[in-house]
Parts: sequence; C-alpha cells; structure tokens
Amino acid sequence: MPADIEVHRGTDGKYYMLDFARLWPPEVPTQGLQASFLIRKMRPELVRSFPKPLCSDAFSRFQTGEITERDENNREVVEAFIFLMKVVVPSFTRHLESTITDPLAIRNFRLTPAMHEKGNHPPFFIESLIAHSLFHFSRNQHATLGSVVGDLPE
Amino acid sequence: MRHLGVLWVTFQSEQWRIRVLTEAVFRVAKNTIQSLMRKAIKRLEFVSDEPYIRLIVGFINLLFGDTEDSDNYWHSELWWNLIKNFFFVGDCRNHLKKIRKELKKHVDLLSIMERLPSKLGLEMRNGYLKSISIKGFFRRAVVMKVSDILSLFPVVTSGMTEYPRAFILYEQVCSFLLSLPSFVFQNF
Repeated sequence: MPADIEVHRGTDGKYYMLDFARLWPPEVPTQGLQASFLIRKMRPELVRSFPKPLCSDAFSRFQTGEITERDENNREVVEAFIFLMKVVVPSFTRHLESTITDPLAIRNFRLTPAMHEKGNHPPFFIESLIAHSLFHFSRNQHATLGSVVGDLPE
Repeated sequence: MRHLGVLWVTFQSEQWRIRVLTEAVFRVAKNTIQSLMRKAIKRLEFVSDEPYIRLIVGFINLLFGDTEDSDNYWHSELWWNLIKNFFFVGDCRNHLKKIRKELKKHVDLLSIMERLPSKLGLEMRNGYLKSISIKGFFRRAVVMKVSDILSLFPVVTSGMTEYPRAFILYEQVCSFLLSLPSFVFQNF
C-alpha cells in the first residue's frame, strides 16, 4: 500500500480508508515528465495477474526501506512493465491480427475494453518471461521507459 | 490506452495500424476540443452556445480541412501531442517520425468525425453525418459550418453510471416546468 494512504477510526467505531490515488504501482518513469509516478499508474488487471507483489511507492521517495529493498521494489515494477511491453502487447496484437481480418470489423473494433481485459494474462507467460531474464537492472542505472524497453519489434 | 503507440508499432497489418493511430488521433482531438471549451467558458462566461460552437467548428476545420494550416497543425502540434501521450515508450517516436509528413493519410478521418459529436455533446443537423461519408469529402477546405451544429448538450463521462442523480434531477425539474400551464410563467 502507498505511504500516504489514510485509515481513520470514525466516531461510529468503524474504520475508513482514504487516498487510494496511488494504490496501483507506477509505471517506469517517463523521461521529461516530472513526477510521472504520481500520474502514470499500472492497470489493476496487470498488477493482479503479475506473480510478484508490486510496490505502490516504487520509483518515489516515499520508500523508506534499505537501498536493497528499494532497488528490489523498483526492479519488480520494471519486470512487470517489460512483461506488459514484450509479452502482453505482442500476444494481444497477434491474437487480433489472426482472429479479426474483416476491414469493417477492424474499423468498428472497440479497443479500450479489449486492451483493459488483456491485462489478465495467464501466469504461464509471466513465468516464461522471468525465466528468460529479458533484462538486467542494476541499482546504479536510472531506469526510464526508453532505457528498459529499447527497440520495439518492427 | 496510453500505450497505443506500442500497439501501433507491434501491429503488422496496415488496417490494424490505421485503427490504432485513428484512436490516438481521435483522443487527442477530443481532449483538445474539451480543453479549448473549458478555457473559453472560463474566459467568456457567455450563456449562449454560439461562441462555443464557432470555436468547435474552427478547430474541426483546422483538423480535417484540406488546407496548408491543417497540414502544419498535423506535422507540429498534433504530432507532438501524439508523442507526448501515446508514443513515449522506447523507440515508438522514431517509428512514428517515418510518417510524420503524411500522418493524415494513415488515419481514418471519417471514423473520427463520426465519433466526435456524441463524445463532445454536439447535436448535428439532420443529414450532416450522412454527408461526410461522400467520397472526397475531406478534400475540401471547410468540412463544417456553424449551421451544421444545432446545439450543445451535457456529456456524462464518469463511466460510473449512465444516469447520474444530477441529470435525473435536471430532467425532473424540466418535465415539471413543462407540465405547468403557461400562465404560471406569465405571472413571473
């Protein structure tokens, strides 16, 4: 949970939680966009389907743990992001290209619900991704979207 | 949806690429008009629809008209908006750069034009949406006139419910007022 989430005990004795805005972990920082961790968040479907728990405070100064722990938090977010870019998106596009070929159907296809749904991915893909170790992330590297993803396939 | 750029780069099929780029341009156009409207409403504080309709028509002609101004807009501002919002991951930007000068040709203009009125709350004159599907429509400098928009209506974008309570209240008040005999209004 993010560092700035609040839990209050009301006068009715019940507990109330607020400030869920930073609940979902951030994406890898975008170069040139200040404090992008506050606004560019991962989709809940992706976070739920990723096998490792992800830190809401990754890539922010809200993290107070040891440097190794902070590095690990950031690295796991990078892993999830790489998984989205290199596995989820290509499998999604391949699926669409092979199943929908009628020009009219493509023109009228509703991308938003389909893209959100695609975050729910079978764990098989995640395991294969991690097994292949697509990247190496050292704590001295400043990760940005460009540096972790590199060249996308043509 | 902010990863439409990655999707566009990954697709092989030209038709799917057009579909994705069209979606990105549609979103930029819709957000630009909404932002222009918010600024205009703050500045003008005008009750009538008329100045806002003029603003929308002006932007739509800049976007879709076959003019030099429109081409410049696509090459500069619109392109930067696409980069900033959708093509910021990895080398997506470089892929889009290859078609920068002919961006308009890789987008389904008709599809954007068909979707904008309902998203922006524009009541179009009868037959307008039919007229835009004529072949060669987008080769003209002026694609929309002020008289093509009849009125503006509120659009619900929360996505939480189709009928928020505020709009139900608005409908109730309107139908109550309309049910009153006309002499009630004359006495005010």
